Amino acid sequence: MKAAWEVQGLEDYMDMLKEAGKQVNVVSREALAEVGQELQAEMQIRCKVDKLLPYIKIYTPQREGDYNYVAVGFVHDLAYTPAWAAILANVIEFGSVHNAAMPFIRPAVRAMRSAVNAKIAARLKAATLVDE
Amino acid sequence: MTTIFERVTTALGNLSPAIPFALGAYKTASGADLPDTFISFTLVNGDGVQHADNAETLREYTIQISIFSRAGLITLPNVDAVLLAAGFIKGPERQLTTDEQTRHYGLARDYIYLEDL
Repeated sequence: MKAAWEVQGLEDYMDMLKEAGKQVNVVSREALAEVGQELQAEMQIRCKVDKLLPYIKIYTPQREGDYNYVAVGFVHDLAYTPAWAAILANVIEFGSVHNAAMPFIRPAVRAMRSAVNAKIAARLKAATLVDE
Repeated sequence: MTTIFERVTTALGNLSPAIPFALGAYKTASGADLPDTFISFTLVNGDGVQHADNAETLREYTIQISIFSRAGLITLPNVDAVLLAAGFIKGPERQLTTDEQTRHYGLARDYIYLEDL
């Protein structure tokens, strides 16, 4: 006695999964670029030191395999941020012996956290890459 | 209602031995040297995190506690003990730049407090 179980459409399904794998990276990176700008604007609004404003930058969406991310703020790279700006930003954000901290990066991230997550989720849903 | 500043002040006041502390930058009388060890604290943010029936029901505060010491960072006041006892949760910490003028080392710690409203 033997039983046969035939599955049809598996190849199509695998192709769909493969395509979704490519799409999710593209859509994620687009969403990250968008929220990166919003996060940058929020940090700039909260920063009380004018000369630091031009150095609050977006380190454009990077990709390491399927790990997508965007870095916003004072990028740890001299090509983006001069040493004086990084040192000053550190003192402003965290304070020093002489100065009280005047945080603007942490509050911006905290304030935007829900909005950023919602925006990325909305972009992925709009591209039908995730369910409700 | 107890403010977040009052909560932190009360908690830091329980440090034993007592350590001088201040909200914002620690200031001494004109010309006086800074203490060997002192603490300053700052409100990083306070945000409503839960709402019901058009009213805020839960608020999250993040407080940064900066500990400065000329003796380095090995033995520090037990800020954890007094703040955790006061209901705070430990957040991230980071070393601050050593001050070349006053020769204080610095460590900044974030503490989070969730307040039911």
